[in-house]
Amino acid sequence: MIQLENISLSYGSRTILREVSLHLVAGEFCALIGRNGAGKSTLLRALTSNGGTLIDGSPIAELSTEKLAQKIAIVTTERIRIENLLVEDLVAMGRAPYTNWVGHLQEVDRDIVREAINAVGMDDFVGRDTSSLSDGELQRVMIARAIAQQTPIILLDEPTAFLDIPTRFEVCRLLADLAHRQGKCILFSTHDIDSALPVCDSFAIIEGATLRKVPTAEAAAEIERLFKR
Amino acid sequence: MKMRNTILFTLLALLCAVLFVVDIAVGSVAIPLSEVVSALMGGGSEEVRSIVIDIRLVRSVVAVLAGIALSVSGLQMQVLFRNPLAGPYVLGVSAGASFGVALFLLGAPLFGFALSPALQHIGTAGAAWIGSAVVLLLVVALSRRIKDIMVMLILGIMLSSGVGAVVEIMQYFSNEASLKSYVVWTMGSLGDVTATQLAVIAPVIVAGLAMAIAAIKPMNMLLAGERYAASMGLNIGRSRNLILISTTLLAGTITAFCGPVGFVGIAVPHIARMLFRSADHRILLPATILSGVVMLLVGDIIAKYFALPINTIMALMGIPIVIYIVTRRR
Repeated sequence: MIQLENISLSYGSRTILREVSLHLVAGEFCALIGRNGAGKSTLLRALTSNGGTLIDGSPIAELSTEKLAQKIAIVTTERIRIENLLVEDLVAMGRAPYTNWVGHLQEVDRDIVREAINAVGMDDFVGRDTSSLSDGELQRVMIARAIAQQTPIILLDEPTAFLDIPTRFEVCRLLADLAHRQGKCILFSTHDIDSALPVCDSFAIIEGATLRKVPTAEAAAEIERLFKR
Repeated sequence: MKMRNTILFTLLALLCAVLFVVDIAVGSVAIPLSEVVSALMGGGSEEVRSIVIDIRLVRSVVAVLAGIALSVSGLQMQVLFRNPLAGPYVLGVSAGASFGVALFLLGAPLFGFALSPALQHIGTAGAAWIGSAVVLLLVVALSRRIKDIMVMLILGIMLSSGVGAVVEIMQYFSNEASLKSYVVWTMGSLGDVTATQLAVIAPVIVAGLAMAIAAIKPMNMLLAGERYAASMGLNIGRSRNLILISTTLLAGTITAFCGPVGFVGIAVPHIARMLFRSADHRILLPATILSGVVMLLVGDIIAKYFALPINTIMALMGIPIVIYIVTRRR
């Protein structure tokens, strides 16, 4: 589905990741783990912008911005709270790669938006102003926007940050459900190991400029060793 | 919501039409409204027709175009910079125009050139336009290197301050006559534009507006920020340039011919947002256009009635709105 092959990433003169590779398949739910500053966000950015990223074997450099938007959706740590921007309008932004030059939504687009809002359990918030949402509600809406984008790959940067413990588990279960039921390939960076362990298929661990992917069964011991150092 | 918007659009359009006629009717010579309407239809005396058509109609059309241009460019800047206090002038468009005019009006006498009234009028507009365009090219060149939009905003403010300092030095060394010409230009005027100049202004404003319409979808996407917008398929560089060029055509042209008219760009988009309670630019763009026309026509009627510069009236109307924006969430 999506892969990086022997990619090195730097921040200024500092090499963050050295000749790393990552392969993720359809329906895989993978957590990206690492200490602060290890390069998790940099790696997620590289997956959408590095010419060496391959989707179904083809380099993303060959894809137009519009085509790439139909392959990868992202959810960042940024909270979009805009006065007068309603929940359904924010989710409908996800249809942008499929709409005309003024962004007119067809009936099919409206159905997809409604389904995406339903998938994250935000039906009662459709007409709510985004500026009035809590962090957890807004995170769900941003995930709904990514779902509405109908991409086979979703990348999320710390989607459980700033959320209370029950909401963290809910968001992780929601993402796992999307991967397993809809066959989406989902990679998300997190420090929240407890919420990720029960539902993830694999863990990508960044340590000392290297990246290795381990199945969940081996992840607990690996993570314990990583954070004990 | 759709019904509410339709009613609001209809009311605003009617208000624009009424204010347009009132603006033509108001002037230093008292002409009854019936004669004004008659002159607009081609009737009445030659003298009244000359005043109404050649002077007042031109001025009112300029007020309409200025309202559209300044408010739309403000809306675009607020989205591009994700800053509610951004306006066409934060990029230095006004400062560039002022610098061009200062160089022309204050600089020419310093170098021993005498300016005829006709040359002074055309030269002022040309210098302002060139000044705005130079600043735009500088901003576009910088924006290719600097990705952080807040840094661009700060650079615009610094550019304005720097240019302001140089203009002050030129003012210090200028003679009384050229200094007066420059100060009068900075006060802004809708009444100095001739029908021939209007024939130049109108197509440029239409071109800028067409670009703004083409930027409706990009502006909606940019509400979520550049990273999200790019991930949803928006070509950020192309969209940014489209918005910047549109802004300069709109704000630069009005500044060139009417002088710097402040606060319209900052205040009007917020009035439109408050009235229509929407963040969708398919609604906000026409709402901003109509609100901008209303504000400029009201301002022009007051300016004519009290014989005051338009810049002063716009500041007095715009400042309370800006204060409200800044303080309402505190």
